[in-house]
Amino acid sequence: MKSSIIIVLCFLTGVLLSYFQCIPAFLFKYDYSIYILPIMMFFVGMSIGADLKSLVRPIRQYKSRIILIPLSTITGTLLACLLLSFFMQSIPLRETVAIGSGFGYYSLSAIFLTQLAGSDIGMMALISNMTREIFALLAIPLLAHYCGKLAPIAAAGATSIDTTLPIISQACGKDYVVISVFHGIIVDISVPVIISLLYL
Amino acid sequence: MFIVMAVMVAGIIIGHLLRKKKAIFPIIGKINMWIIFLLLFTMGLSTGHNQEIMNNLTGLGAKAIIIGIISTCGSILAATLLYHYLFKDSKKGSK
Repeated sequence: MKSSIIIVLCFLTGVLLSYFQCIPAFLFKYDYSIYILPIMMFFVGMSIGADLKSLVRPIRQYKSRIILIPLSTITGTLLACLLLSFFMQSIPLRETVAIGSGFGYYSLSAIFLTQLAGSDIGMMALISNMTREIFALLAIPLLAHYCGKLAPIAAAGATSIDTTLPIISQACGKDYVVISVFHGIIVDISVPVIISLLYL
Repeated sequence: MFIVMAVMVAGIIIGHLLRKKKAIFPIIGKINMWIIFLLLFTMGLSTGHNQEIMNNLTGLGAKAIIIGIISTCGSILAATLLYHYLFKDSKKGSK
């Protein structure tokens, strides 16, 4: 709860500082998350290494049911996009579903959709999937508390294997790291598959 | 993604070697929390700096944000139902 508020504040401070140019522009030449992420993953790895059973425990516990987690994430997003397109007349059904099925993997889905559907839809895919990543990062501690331990992984979508993984491990416990990685791999693969199926 | 996974495996090995030194693990948890805050701050910095996003916050951009949030909520709802109907028995196994 408290950490969710701090996370939101950190993010908003960053947005405001750079939008109103309180920070010199040369600092933006690099994407810092590329450097921060490996450090976090190293620490997540260390906490797993201290208790190696946390790698096998979820697999033993859930068995084949694990595959249902990425499937429900994909189904949930696709259904939500279908429903949403009835209320948003200006964007066609196919484009709405295609944008949503980036699952937070904004680099890939923006490139794909720029080529397949034009630069407007590509730009929307970029913003929409960045929104998903940021929304997931901000909401994970709350989701773990109120919606069960799978909700943070589902919200993270394709990012459950990289950017959001350290926060998922913090919020859900290290037993969920394996599930999160597996979920991320399956959803990652589904992004190009679903988008190319939509534009056959 | 490959580098990230390799770093994590390295972390697992070192964590396993240090598993007897129980005192360092709560500290690692705290450090990681601070790094998460730092990550979000830098993501905020690059979002605020991204002209394509900041100039498109109305019109198409607003619609894109709605698609992003609604699709995330769809997945959250599906996962909440899944957890309550199929995974509830394993609640005790967490953390």
